[in-house]
Amino acid sequence: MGMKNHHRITKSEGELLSTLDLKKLLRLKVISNKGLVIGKVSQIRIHQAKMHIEGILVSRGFFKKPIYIGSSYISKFSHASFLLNVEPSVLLKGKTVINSQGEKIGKVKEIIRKEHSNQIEKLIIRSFLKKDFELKISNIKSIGNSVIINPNHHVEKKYFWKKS
Amino acid sequence: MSKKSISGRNLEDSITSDDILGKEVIDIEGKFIGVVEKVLIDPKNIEIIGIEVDKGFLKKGLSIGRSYIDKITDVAIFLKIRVAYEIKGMTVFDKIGAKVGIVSEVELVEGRNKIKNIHVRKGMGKKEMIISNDLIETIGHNIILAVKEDKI
Repeated sequence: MGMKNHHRITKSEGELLSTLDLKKLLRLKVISNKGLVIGKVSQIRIHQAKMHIEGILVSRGFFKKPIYIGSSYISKFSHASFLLNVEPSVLLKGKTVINSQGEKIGKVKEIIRKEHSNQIEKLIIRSFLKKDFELKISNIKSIGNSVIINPNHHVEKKYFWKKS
Repeated sequence: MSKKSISGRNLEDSITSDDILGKEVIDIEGKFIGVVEKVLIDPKNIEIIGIEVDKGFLKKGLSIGRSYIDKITDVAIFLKIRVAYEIKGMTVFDKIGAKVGIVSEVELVEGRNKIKNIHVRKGMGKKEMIISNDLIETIGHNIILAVKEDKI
């Protein structure tokens, strides 16, 4: 049935044309606040009691875990895409870590977050032939294309064969 | 044997062009831009005015003015900026996340690292769009505009 041809039973709610069809939002791109295309919406999850969007499931292609993103991290959505108000911190995995001298000291192996939020508590860094080490968020100067460590933080890398 | 010096000042803490050449250049976001190929010197004042960066095979070189250099370390040269030219090839999305096109050219303000306009190509055989810097909201992995495509 076409949208023009329908009965309307509403109280304070807006008219049909002012709303979005959830089916049409599926497969839309999900874009971070810095313009990174995270993936495509595979599911839109509704809170049963409150009847609002609770979050979206973002598929990222083969071999990559989908990400469930809560509505508090969604800045806006339209017929074109979902825009987030964050850069999902789980995507830091694999980023290069450099010290203040510009030396590459490893790659991000794991991201430890505050519960399930996007807030990073610390990163676990792996480095070739070295033991993994932790990097607290307070010791990070900036996160962009790489993770840059604060100049006043010295990372002591330990080789596998060294006892801790 | 110590070298003779006629500079009238202590040159022990100075670095040489050899200490700069071949070093990696890293922007403020931690992105590796390339390696230093040349050190540029003003012939009148005999002062370093910048560096020339080799960005790799088949890529155009890039000259960076001294004022954009943050620090020179033993391993790399850090910039204070994100190089405006690096946005070439980025995808441009409008305010609602609809794809507008790909950046094909960047116009700067008087050769400084300040974007004046970006040229955006929508697809093969389609006309190029010129978008003013005022309409850009965010530059990150890609570009997000502050307006919808029909307002450009």
